[in-house]
Formats: sequence, structure tokens, C-alpha cells
Amino acid sequence: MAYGVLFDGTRCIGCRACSVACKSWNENSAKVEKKTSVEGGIQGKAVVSSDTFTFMRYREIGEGDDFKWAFAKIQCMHCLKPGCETACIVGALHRNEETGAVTYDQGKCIGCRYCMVACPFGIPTYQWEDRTPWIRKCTFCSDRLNEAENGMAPACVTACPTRALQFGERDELIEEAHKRIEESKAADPAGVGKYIDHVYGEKEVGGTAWMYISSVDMTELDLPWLSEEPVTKNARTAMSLLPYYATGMLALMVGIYFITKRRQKIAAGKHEEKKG
Amino acid sequence: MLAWNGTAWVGDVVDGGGNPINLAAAGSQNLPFIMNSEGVGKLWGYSLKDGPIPEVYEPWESPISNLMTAQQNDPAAYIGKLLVDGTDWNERGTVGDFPIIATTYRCTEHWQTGIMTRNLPWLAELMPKMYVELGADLADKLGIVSGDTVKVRSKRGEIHALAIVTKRFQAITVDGKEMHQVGIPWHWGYAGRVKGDSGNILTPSVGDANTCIPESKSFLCKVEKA
Repeated sequence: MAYGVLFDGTRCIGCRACSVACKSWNENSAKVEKKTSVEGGIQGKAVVSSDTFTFMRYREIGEGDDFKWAFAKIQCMHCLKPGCETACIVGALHRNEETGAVTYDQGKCIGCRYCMVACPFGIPTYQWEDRTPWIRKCTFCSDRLNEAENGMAPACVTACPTRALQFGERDELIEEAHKRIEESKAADPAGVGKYIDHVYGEKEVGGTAWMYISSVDMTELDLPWLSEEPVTKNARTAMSLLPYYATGMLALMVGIYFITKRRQKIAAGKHEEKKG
Repeated sequence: MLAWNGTAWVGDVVDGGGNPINLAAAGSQNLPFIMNSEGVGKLWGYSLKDGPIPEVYEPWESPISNLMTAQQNDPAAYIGKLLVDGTDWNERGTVGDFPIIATTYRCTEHWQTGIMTRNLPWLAELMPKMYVELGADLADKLGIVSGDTVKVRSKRGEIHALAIVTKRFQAITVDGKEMHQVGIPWHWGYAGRVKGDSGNILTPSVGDANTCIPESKSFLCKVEKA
């Protein structure tokens, strides 16, 4: 069975222990941006990068009594049907059936960056500044998941002080998520509860390992609105047309070459006649 | 981290070893006011310099006159001197010159004046710049947007900071007047991996009558685009 992580927005306090734990485990370096981002207020980091596999997004949502300062953890969603895996020409990105982690093998990568185009969440990032650039993204702490039976979880989950992140079998987490939503509704005299009745990632793009429940709609935290259709369909279509496109372009280029060569020959011939 | 399992605290050591108040025996060390021999709070504070009865006083720099009592400030408050080359910099600002209420506060990533945390690479990366948070209504009035550099001045001095506009600060009406408040963290300083102006340049040197805890959470300032 595959693992997953449930993010509970009602427990998250935006402390960013997860970001620091991730940096620590992956030995990623710190990079202070020249211009501090003011998106999300005191959020600081605004995008994942080759050195930042996860960050917290802060959003101030609503007005007056409905005002909420909401947080969302942004990282690779480890989709059940990853677009990046389908788009990868050489199979460097691959979903491990046992753990559910979408892992990256830099030994196979040719740097085409099709994965960056295919990902609906915009996660894989290229090491633009390096001379030997690779793709970098959250690894689901695959090196820690080997010890999952012994209680090891991804670094971010272990670091979270409020248990906003919960690691476990994906099916069990879906059950737990719905259970929390239902219990909250039952405890509320108005029957609404504190959660939005939706588990983001349960069905989006065919399901993702990382799922979210919160008191605000996840699209308000700029997580993309996605249908249940996996993105692998589009990726597969694009990739299957690639050989035809390549061959077609080759034929066109060869054709243009010969036409140009012919024209140059004729022009040179006319020049000769003029001279002669 | 800390939880009551029905009979005891688990996870951490509680100050005074206290059980929840409804279970504590009277006069025992398990009552919450651990610094008082009786274990309970006092309404008649006979040992306090500004006692014996609790009173509401305005901060040393206040935009309004005390609405609760004729005595504006605590008469026993400690008013310090900030002597620099014989001049006392601890001067009192007025609401005419400094119309905005200021408070100092913290953020998660840094601790106290940031002398340690600002040298830790991952923490410095998360929170590199000295900032000032202000409400959208005040920002509109002053023509400031998030990302602008602003100058914040008080009677003691002036700092530069990154402005961050937030919905978490809103104008309040006190004594019929609309008041604005800004939040100033005090984690930055002149040295370290990341540097910035210190919020404590602005605060007054005034302390509580009994403990001398400085009144750094309530003073007046002026904010403008730098």
C-alpha cells in the first residue's frame, strides 16, 4: 500500500518547523533572497526552489468575523498518477508503488525540463545557477520511509509540533480526514463544523499522496483548482506526438536546407555568368 | 508537549508542579499564583509600590487622556534616563507629533534581539528583513504598499524597515478618535548574517513601578514612506 500525509489547516500555526526540518534532513543550503518577497505578508519564501523543497504559504482570508489567517504547506504532492513521470523521456521520475513517493534519479536526467511543464502544481525546479544543473524537489523523505515500520516519517511530519501533519497509509488518512470533518459537524450545533467539507488531494488529478483539510477552501491558499482527471493523459498525448514532431521537423529542416543550397547555387551561377 | 492525563501532567515539568486549580488544595503550592505565599491573587496588594488597589493607568506616551481615572500615568512608574554624552534621550513624545500607536512584538523565527537566530542560516533565510506591519487602512492613508521601505520615528529615534500591509491590524475608535496601530519586531541589529534596524531604538525607557519591566509595548510613533 502507499503512504500519504494529511495536512490539517486547523492545527497548523505557521511556525515553519517543517521547512527547517526539511532543509536539515536534505542538507539544503540557505539562500537569502536579494529582494524579500512580501507575498503573503511575513511569509518570506514564495516558491519552491532547488534549495527549498517545502515552504509555508500564508494568506489572510475574509473580513471581520470571518477573518482567518490561513496556512498551507507547499511541496511535491506525490501524485498517484504523476504528470512528471509520464512526461519524463528517460524515466528519471518514477513513482515507487510501495511507498507512493515520486522519486527522481539524477543519473538518468537529461535536463529537458518536461517535468516542469507537466506538473500541475509547478513543483520540480531546475538548478538554474549551477553548471551541472539537475531537477530538485521534495523526495517524500524516501530514505526515511524505509524505516516507516519503526516509526520514521518524513522529516517535516516529525518536526510538526501541533500534529498538523499526519503520516500513514493513504486510505487510512482519507478515512481520518472525513472522520474529522464529520466529528466537527456533529459537535457544532449549527451542523457546519470548522472544516470545509472537502479533502483536497483525495480525488484531484487522480489523487495525490499529500492531502489537505482546512477551515478555508484550499484554492484560497492558491492551490490550483483541479479536476479529477489525471494529468498523465495530457502528458502522454504530448509525449506520444513527440517522435512525429521530431521527424517532421527533421524532414522540414532537411527540405529547407536543400532549397537554400539550390538557391545559393543558382545565385552563384548567375554571378559567374555576369562576371564571365 | 504538555497534556493532563486525568491525574498528572505528562510531557513536561509544570511551574510549581501545579494541578489544575479545581483539584488543588487551598494554600498549597499547587495554586496558580506561585509567587504569592497564599497561592491566590491579591485584590489588596499591600506590598506593591503602586498598590494597594489595582488601577488603570495610561502608558507614558498615550494618544488619549485616562478615561478611567484622573491620574493619567502611574505616579510610581520608573522613568529612566538614556544618557548619551550628557543628553537625556529618553524624551516623551506627544500624539500631535507622533499620531500612531506602536507596539513591539516577536516572530517565530527569531528570539529576543536576534543575536543568535540571525546567524543561523535557515532562520535568517526565513525572516531576513526588519519589517513593520501596518493595517490596510493606514497604508492607504499614507500611500504605502507592501514592499516599500518606511521610516518609523519616535521621540527617541528613527528606524528604516520593510512595510508589510496586513488585515490583522485595523483602525480602532477610542474616545471618539480613530486610532491606528503598527507592529514593530525587535529582533534585528547591526551585526549578523542578516542585519536591520532595531525596534528598541524607538521604545521609551519607562518601567513598571514594581518590576521595572520596560513599557516597550505601548508608545507613539510616526510612519512615513522612506
